[in-house]
Amino acid sequence: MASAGSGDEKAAAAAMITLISSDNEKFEVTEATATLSQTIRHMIEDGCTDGGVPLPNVTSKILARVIEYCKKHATAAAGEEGSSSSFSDAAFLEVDRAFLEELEEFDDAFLEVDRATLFDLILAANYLDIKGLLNLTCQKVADSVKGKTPEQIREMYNIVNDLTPEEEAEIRRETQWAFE
Amino acid sequence: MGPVRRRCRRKKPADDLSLGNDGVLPVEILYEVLLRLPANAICRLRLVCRSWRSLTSDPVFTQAHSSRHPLLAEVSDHEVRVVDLLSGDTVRRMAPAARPRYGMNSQLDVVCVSAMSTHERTTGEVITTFLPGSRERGEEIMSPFLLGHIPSTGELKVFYSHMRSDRDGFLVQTCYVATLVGYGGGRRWRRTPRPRVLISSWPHDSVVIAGVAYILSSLQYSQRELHTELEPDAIAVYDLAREEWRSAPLRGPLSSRLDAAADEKKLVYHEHRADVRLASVDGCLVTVHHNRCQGCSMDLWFLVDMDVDKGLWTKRYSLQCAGPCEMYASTSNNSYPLLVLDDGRIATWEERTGVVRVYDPRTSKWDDIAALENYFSVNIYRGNLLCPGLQR
Repeated sequence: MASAGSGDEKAAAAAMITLISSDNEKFEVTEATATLSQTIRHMIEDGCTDGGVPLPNVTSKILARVIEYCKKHATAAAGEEGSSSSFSDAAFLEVDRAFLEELEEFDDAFLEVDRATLFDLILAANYLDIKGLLNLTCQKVADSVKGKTPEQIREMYNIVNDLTPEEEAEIRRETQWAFE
Repeated sequence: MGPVRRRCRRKKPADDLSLGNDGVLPVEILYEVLLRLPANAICRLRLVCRSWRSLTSDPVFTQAHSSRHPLLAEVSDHEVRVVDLLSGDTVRRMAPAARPRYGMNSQLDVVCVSAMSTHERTTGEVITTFLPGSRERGEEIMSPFLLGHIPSTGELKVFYSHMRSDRDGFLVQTCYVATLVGYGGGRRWRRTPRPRVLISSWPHDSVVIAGVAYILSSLQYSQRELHTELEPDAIAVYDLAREEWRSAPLRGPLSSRLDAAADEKKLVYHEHRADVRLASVDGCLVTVHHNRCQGCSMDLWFLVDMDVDKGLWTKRYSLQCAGPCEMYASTSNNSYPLLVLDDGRIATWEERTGVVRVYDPRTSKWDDIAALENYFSVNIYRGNLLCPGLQR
């Protein structure tokens, strides 16, 4: 029989959390995956995850994607921790780099979604407080906005220009350096 | 951190922002996205519509943005530019009226550059130049201009010292101060008292924090009789508001510690003075010590609570150098700390190689983040580009 200690560890590793989407679909995930979300981490700490965690703001379609992201990143995080002690420095760096490259590829592919999905992912990441995912998705939108003119932005997002010519002049005057 | 920020946002009339525009880009998302753009892009995108303008002008937003985007001011022969430290984006360029030479520091949105005998002031729109009071040039040594912001009055003042030999070969130092912005400014240089000992003229030997200038003593020792008693990390303290020196110098961490070890070998001024520099990190006075003998490291000592009277120091960081520092290189060639990032890493600038690096105290690893060959002076830019005129 295994010692009590390792038995506990096994139990902890196997601890599953049930997440319930707004359309009532249930997702079983490991605690390691779920706790990438600070919101869920706090719920677990407060001991209120029995019977599942209802997430009324997240649809099953989006939750599935979010879980996909968390699984990948939770594995990567665990891999990093595990490898640091068992490899020499050089080998560790090699593994580290391979992990990061793989993760980057995953992230790039993950972001290949339409704009509506991207926005839903941002909202979910914000609500669930998943820092990495929020950063990833927001940066994607930020990059697409960065080099655009105000006119292009209005077109992209269907925004009506409600500024008066006086207000526009004022904005240009306030930070003239930004328009040079 | 995340949840707190969200709570703050809900308090504002956030929903108004998306009203006129169909909620295509929910304000929650817009906030997070705009937070990730460089300041110049944000200023331009204020022209999109009213809601974008008001969101990006809100103090909650501008604060969050500036803490997320630390800025560096970088000086080359022909320009001063402001760069987003982490993304590397050049956010703003300024053309100085005269050719910058050395030593730059900034307070609020003003960048102060020394240009031989000229001084530029770079504010929102104007760059003006004015000359210091001295007519003599040549054999004299001028310190960089030290720019100080006095929080209680909002004044901006500039200080510099000037050193030359008298007929008997003794060094004579004269100090000047001028008010750039504030009451009775006129930008005229006024003579101001000088401290008991010669103060340094090197760029990284002085900092100004909250209207008080801290300056190490000079490495020039033609007045050696004075310097034999001087501690290598003694700091002269000048109050820019009252325009007077603190009667006794502030003792640095090295000499304060040596007291305890009574008769242990005394610090030799001209041996140790060159290993010490001053920096301002997180609003604290910091002495930077390069240990060349002990495996090459750099210690950062912080003045506890910024209390000059107590004079307590705490060693918060010891940075292990990436490679051995050059034995005879002057300390001005080594890394100089700029700021501590949100994730605990320390950003530094190395003048000799022109590289901006970050050091992770947990792993003792260095990462180069920018190579700036043509920029000879780099420091933190302390202004907030998103709210013009708000600081003063």
